[in-house]
Amino acid sequence: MALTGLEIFKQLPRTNCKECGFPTCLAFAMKVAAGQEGLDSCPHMTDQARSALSAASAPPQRLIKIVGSQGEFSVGQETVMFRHDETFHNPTGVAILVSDALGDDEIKARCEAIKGLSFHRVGTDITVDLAAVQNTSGDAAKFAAVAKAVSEQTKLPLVLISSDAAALKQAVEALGSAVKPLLVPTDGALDSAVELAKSQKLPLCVTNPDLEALSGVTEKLSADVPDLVICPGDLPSPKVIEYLSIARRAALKKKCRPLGFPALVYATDSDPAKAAIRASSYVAKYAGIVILDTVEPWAVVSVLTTRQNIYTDPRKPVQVEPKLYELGQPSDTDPLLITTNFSLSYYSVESELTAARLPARVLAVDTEGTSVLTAWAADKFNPETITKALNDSQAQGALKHHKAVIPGHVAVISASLAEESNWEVLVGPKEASGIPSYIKNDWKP
Amino acid sequence: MKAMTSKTYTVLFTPEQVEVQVESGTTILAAAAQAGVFINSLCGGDGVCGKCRVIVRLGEAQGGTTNHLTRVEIQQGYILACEGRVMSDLVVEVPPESQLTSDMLAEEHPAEQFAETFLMRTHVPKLDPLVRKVYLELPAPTLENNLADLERLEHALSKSLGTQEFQMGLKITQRLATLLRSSDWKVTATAAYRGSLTEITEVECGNTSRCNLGVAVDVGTTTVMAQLIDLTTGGTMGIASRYNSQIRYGGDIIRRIMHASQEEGGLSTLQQAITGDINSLIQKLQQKFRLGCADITTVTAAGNTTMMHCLLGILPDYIRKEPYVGAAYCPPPFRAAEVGIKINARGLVYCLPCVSSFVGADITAGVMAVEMHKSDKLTMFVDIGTNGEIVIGHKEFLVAASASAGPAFEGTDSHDGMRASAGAIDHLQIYNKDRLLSFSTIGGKPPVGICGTGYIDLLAELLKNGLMDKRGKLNTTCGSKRIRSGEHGQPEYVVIRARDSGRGKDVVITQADIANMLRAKGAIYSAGQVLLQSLGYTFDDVERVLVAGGFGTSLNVESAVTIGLLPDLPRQRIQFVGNASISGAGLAAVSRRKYDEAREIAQSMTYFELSTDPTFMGELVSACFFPHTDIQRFPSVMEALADGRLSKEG
Repeated sequence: MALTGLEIFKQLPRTNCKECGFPTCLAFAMKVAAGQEGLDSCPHMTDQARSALSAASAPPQRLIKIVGSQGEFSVGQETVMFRHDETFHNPTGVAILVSDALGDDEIKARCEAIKGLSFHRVGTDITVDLAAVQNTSGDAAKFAAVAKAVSEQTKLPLVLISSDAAALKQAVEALGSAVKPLLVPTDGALDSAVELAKSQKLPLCVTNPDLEALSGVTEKLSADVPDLVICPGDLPSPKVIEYLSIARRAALKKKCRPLGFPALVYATDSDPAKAAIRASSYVAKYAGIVILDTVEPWAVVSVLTTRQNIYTDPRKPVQVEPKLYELGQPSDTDPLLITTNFSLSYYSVESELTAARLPARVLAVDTEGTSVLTAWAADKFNPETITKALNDSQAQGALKHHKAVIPGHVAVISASLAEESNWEVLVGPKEASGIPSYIKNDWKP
Repeated sequence: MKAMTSKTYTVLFTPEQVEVQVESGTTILAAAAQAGVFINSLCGGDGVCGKCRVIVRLGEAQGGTTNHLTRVEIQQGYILACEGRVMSDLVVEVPPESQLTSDMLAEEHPAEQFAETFLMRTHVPKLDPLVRKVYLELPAPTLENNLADLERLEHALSKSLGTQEFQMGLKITQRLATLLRSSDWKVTATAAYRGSLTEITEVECGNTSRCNLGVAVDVGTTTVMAQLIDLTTGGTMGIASRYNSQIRYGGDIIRRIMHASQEEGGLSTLQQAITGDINSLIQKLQQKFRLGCADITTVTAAGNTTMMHCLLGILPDYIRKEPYVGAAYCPPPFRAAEVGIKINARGLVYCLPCVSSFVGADITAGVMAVEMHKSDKLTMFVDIGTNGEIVIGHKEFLVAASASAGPAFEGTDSHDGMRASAGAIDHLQIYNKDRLLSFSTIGGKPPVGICGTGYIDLLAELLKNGLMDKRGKLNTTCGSKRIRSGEHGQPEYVVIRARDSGRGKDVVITQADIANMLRAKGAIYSAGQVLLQSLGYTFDDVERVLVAGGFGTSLNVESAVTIGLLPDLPRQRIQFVGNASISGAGLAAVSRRKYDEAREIAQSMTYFELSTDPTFMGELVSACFFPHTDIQRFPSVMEALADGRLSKEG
């Protein structure tokens, strides 16, 4: 459990000296608790307090970083079991498998395909995060060469999978010290890979289908290799989800440090559809990295979409897109109502109209997600901003009339809005609940 | 129109019987302001609120179109004062619901008595007023003891006060030598606290140290209250209150700020309005106790940040704009005359400090008065006003948040809402389904409207009797004769029928009023919830809930919990403390230590911005339910609603 602002506050000097840039020590402590400010900003903290706080504020699940030739990938440090409790923080990494048994041209084609796996969805680019190079050739030199080629061509951070610790070592050397891949030693290669991970400070994946046994291993290892990833290996899907759920629960709820690491899982079915379904269910239930063996865009996009949905912060979407909304196929004589883009304001208006089956246009003015009165008070919902929104929306083109209805709470701006916009401004009811009767009784186009 | 020669007409306002001469075309509202007649106007003359209804009894007034008046009312001569223009000599009647009774004295107003008793109940500080009068018998100078006059005075004063550094104005210094000699070295020095400095503001002949008075002022957005204090004993002599005349420029803070920044001379108009109010209260108290204005040496003032800005004539415009920063939160003491307050010519105004743009000196004063900053108990201080402010903490820390609850509980912005003044329904119960309704009004007058505590009772009773559901929707199918379809077809509940009311009109609560109050109570509850949560606490950890505010004379805690305004805690933990702001201002006047404490509180209080907290919106939405979406948080209410034992039969 993260520390609360008060617990941090108790360790601070409590002088309200303001040198950290905050008005009081408690204000600073609350920012630290929220993870928005580091302890280092306090110039007067004792070393004792600092170490007490750093130890206690260590997250229940470790954050693992995998560094590529350009950019890095972070996973872990999740704080809740269910998204609605707070949010999920670091999205599951989607990795595409590249076998080193492929020929040079095939590898080039595979890398090109991986680079093409980028999609634009609801205003955001969603892409794969990692390339997983698997040593199936049994040739250490080949493995190293392919790892280097994939790193250079895709620029992605790498996952290196091999049953031969020497091959991993050679690949790491070929990649150079700036690149920090995740090592995944398989079939008994773990012990010799530990030395490599320790000396090169690389993240290391421990594979064991038995959580009990696994926690024994990670507990011993974590002193030497702090950055660990856990992996169930090859289990049937239900068992994998059970494994991931138990590990997550143990780490978060029981503060079981040996299981406080993100997990890597395989969804490498040869049928891309099956792989996508499997990967999506793992994304939903606690996978840190999921490896796919397909570059079919339709399969990968479904996994990335699932991930985007699950990792969207549920605390944030209090805004709707500021634009003109058409409800119930309005005609050119139906009313135009103006509100703000605060979701609660907009949906109050929308739900009243929809429930009463009244076709209308609703213009949600961009007020940075603040409600009608708040936005008005802060000068964000004024004749100028509304006029601009009216003009930008080109609402006039769809209307025969030239009337806009504003919320009753801002009746005070009706005259100046009419002047500014040259629209006829009508004052609607104060509450959304009054809209249906207002339209039925008072609206004339 | 302007080019036409304007005629002057006489307007007579009844029942006040005040006459005023105005130019043709002046609005009745402006004429009333000129005549000193108070007319309720929430929107500040925008023709929006419909509160400024007056009746033209004689003459011609040109009215605008409005949907605030019914056809029948227009035929009866009703007009909105802000829309109606004077076109001839007029006789205008201000009906009771539109009157702002301009002042009430303490003995008529229990809220004020309450403020006083609360002040007395709290720990009475050691008497050490901000401004002290010290009688000194100075040794006359000799050839040996040849200290200069000023140093002689300072030496004696520092022995008596224990302070070292003094300052003094040039004028007093100039006449000091003559004064000391003419008074045979027996003088009274007035010493005003300025932190490490002491200002000698006055030196008088003889012993006048028994006459030293202070006035504590609570500058409310709606009501201004003044308390006269004898600084030689620390005792309260009297309390008076009146409406803030700034109301005519808008009922809420934002409208006032807009008036100050957007109207020509707006800021000085607002300052003159509030200093005028304070002066008239002081004058009233002076007359009552037959005192001279020179005897009042100190004014301490507390109010929200915007009111403090307006009082000092500082432009408050930046308070409402991002990043919401005020001009001064902890101003030094100023000469009262410079501010425009009429007391002793060299008297000082001490403003209590504000915390942030939305946590004002009223909160600092309140926290100091209830001694939260010294308590071991985790306390939640809730100030219910236009903004609901919440402070949580104890002697180790204080965190404050402000939730824009809206003025619903202040009675404004509701169909028949009113301030806690004579004729306001302040308590209410529904019996026997809704066939029987019992209520009390402030001052025992016939009911003309409902004030905050009345609304809290009303909502609780509607809920308990199944007349309103948990979403706040009036139950139109329950067969209640009091629920009917009102304006715009919206359901409304008739509380008082016209024949029983003091204003010849039904007193109702509308569906929109309920929605407003639902949001207001939701904002206050969720602000407390989020604030506690951000500190790692829950409501169960709160050992005391202190509810402050001027929205009634006493609060029915059970009702407040039933509607989910206050958390469902053991009732003995919840206490109504009335106007804590004036209590704090009063304490500061009689104690330098208390004044310093208030400044320390303001410095150490942490302002928590709710609007950027990601959980606030979710909490607010789930709190917009009677009592709450998560009924488990209100076990006692759940139990009561379930077994129906709260709905009284007979």
